[in-house]
Amino acid sequence: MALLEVRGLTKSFGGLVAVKGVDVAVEQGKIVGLIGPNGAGKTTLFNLVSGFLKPTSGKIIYDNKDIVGMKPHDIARKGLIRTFQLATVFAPLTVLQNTLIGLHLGARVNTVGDVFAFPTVVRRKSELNKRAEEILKFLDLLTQKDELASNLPYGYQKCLGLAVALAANPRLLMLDEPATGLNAEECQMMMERIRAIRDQGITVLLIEHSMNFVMGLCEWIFVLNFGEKIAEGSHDKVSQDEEVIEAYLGEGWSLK
Amino acid sequence: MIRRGLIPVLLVIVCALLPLALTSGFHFNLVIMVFLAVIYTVSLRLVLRSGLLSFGHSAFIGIGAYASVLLTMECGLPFLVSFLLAGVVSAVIGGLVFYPALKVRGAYFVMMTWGVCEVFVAIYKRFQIFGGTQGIWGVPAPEIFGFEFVGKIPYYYMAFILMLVVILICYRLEKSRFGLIVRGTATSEELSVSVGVNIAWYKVTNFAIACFFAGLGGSFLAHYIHLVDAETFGWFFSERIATYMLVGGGGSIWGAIIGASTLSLLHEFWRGATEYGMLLHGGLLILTMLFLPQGLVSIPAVLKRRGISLKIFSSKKVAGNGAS
Amino acid sequence: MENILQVLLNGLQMGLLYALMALGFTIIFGMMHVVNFAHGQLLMIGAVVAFTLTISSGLNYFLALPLTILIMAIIGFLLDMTMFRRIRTNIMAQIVLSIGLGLVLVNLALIFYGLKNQSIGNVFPGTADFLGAHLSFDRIMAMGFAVIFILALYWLIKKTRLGRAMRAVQQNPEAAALQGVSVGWTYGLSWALAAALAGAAGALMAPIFPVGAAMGYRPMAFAFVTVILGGLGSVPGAVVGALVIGFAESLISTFAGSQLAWGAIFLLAVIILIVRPQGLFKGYI
Repeated sequence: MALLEVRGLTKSFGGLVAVKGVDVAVEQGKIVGLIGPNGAGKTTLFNLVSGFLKPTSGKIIYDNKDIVGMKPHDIARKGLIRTFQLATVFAPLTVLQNTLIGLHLGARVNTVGDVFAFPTVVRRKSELNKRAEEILKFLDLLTQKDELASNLPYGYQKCLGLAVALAANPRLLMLDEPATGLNAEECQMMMERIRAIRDQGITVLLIEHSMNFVMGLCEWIFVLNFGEKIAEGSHDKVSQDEEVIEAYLGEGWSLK
Repeated sequence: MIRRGLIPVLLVIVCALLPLALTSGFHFNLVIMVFLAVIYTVSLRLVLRSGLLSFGHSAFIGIGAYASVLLTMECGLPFLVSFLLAGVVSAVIGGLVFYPALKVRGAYFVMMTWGVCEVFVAIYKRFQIFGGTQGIWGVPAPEIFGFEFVGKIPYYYMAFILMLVVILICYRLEKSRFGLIVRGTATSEELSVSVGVNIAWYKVTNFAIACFFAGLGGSFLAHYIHLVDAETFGWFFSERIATYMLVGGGGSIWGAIIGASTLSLLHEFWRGATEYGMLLHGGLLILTMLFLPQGLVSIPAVLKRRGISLKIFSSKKVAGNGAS
Repeated sequence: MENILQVLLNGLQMGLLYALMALGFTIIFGMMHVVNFAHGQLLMIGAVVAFTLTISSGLNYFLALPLTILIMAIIGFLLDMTMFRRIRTNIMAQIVLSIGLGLVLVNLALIFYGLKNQSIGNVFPGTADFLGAHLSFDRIMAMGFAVIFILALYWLIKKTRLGRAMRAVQQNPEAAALQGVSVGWTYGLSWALAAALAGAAGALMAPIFPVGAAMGYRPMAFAFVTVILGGLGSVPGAVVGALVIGFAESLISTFAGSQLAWGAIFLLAVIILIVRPQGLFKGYI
């Protein structure tokens, strides 16, 4: 079953058409890749699906409902969580606090009870703390939980972004360049983690430039170029597609 | 070394016992005004936590004042009811005014709130129901369950208790999940939205709460000085409260408390020698911003950085001026 | 029934003076993104300096005027050098500091200039009458100078190196610095320019209006609203905005009282900030 289906999605900014008539289907429980040269419209597609941008035309069907026009925070409430290409964190807050904000959706904490320290609320908050720490442990950030996010090196900040996204209890997790900036070893670990995330029942759609990463991880791949879909399929099919190879010639694969 | 947690307790005890030591009405008035200043500043800081500097706080203090006065004098409601309703009215109007302005940021927000402030003043002056340019005189003293406020002491304790309540609630709010998310929305709207935070709801609610406390303060003020005058709720008042907050240090609630108490005391002292006083006051603002941009509350941290540690305080990380 | 021409002429005259005020503010806030709540006091200081030069020192007005402008330019430059340079990026600090500066300026004026509240007196006595409306020669002179200064400023921004430097820093200070623009000097000279304009407005107002320590508040308010109306950073926008406000104030005051004029103008500013923060005229001018 396709958890996410995009039909004829188009976005133009004045004269520039960033995304043109794109059809994408992401099957539940799979890891799907979205690749293409720089400027192909991948992040724009993410922004459209997650509600950060309004499409010019087309349909976005998530969980059998057309979500075009929904506010981004409402889309997130439905379990569609995206990360950002540039590491995005709550800089003046600690790693743990960052994650706790991510847990916002499932928090069920009554603010009045919070202010007056009702015991049920205090208990619930400590449960949330534990859940946050579990997530940080999964991403090897637990030791830094009291560190200010702004003090983390860039790679760790991206990891934190992933922690915040995971905390929001996603059904469909959209990762924008999760491996960019990571070395070979870290890339491997990230691949493991994404598989573990998938094994927990979360569908993953990711944008990435590193071909090893995508080919090694993704069960289905969509290729965009100049805003249009030029190929889709398994990694064998896509890596041998002529149009795909041509699109990347001169751009350079990043081979690791 | 005095444990940091002991200081607030000592202060509370001192303030609770102070009326025994105070003799003149002038001194009572001074302290009551300080309490009120703390209430205004701490509630203003709530707004700062959501990333906005508001120069319109006096408008909501004024709404509370006028609402309370009209409810007691025109509708004959008992003081306590008017007092609480005044807070509610201020909160509701605050929310209504703030909601359309969600997209306004930074210095534009400052200017907008200043404009809002002056619009309200113009309304008060224009319509007779608010007393027009003369204001409303003869506002009755509060009466709670038959006990009528006579002399300074009842006002003192009411202001004191109100201040404590406001400080405690604002402090707990800050540490609560709600407060954390508000801080998050001030830091990165994108990220907040991506995890399902309804930014509008949090910011408007936060603003409304701040206005609620401002309204309570305004109501008390009106029944304390027994009059409301439109001009007092104009831009100057807002500006004073904002400077108390920023000079004290917007990054922590202590900054608001320290800024409000020291600067409002200074202000009262200057009342006599106005020009020289205000000159020094202005100079103080300038110097603080040049040399202590995180506010007075950062003095221990700054001294520590320069190698002088004040042995009585343990230093604490002051994370920014509260709104980045 | 007020003479409509009179009302319009008053509006025009005030509008031009507000424009001078607003232009200084446009440069500093709109272009250089520095918040200065003390700008109105710079106008007041300009008027006080002009007063001191003409009345206390007996200088001819037409010597006092350029001298005042020069003095104000130097003051502006020094303000940047000593204070605002250190807090270029911190808006909160600028807000509080400029409020403090405003207090200092007003109270310095009160201390040294005192509680006087009188105008310089006519430079050109007499009025011009036509069609039932009259305009004193002093007002005509003020309008004339205002127009000259406005045009000079426009030329400066569009055609000179400083103007280009200012526009470059406005858009991207780092890139400008990389291009060899001295960012420090650009700020300093912009400040000098803005202060000079405010001081000029004050000096031009001195023969017409009473010069007192409190005279800077209203122009400040109008400068804000003008800049909001006309769009930040736009010189023509500021001029048009100022004229609109000058006319509006004159009209509304005459027919509905000045209280309402104030309120209405502020309300307009608030609405514009919410609905169309780039100002009414951006894109059209």
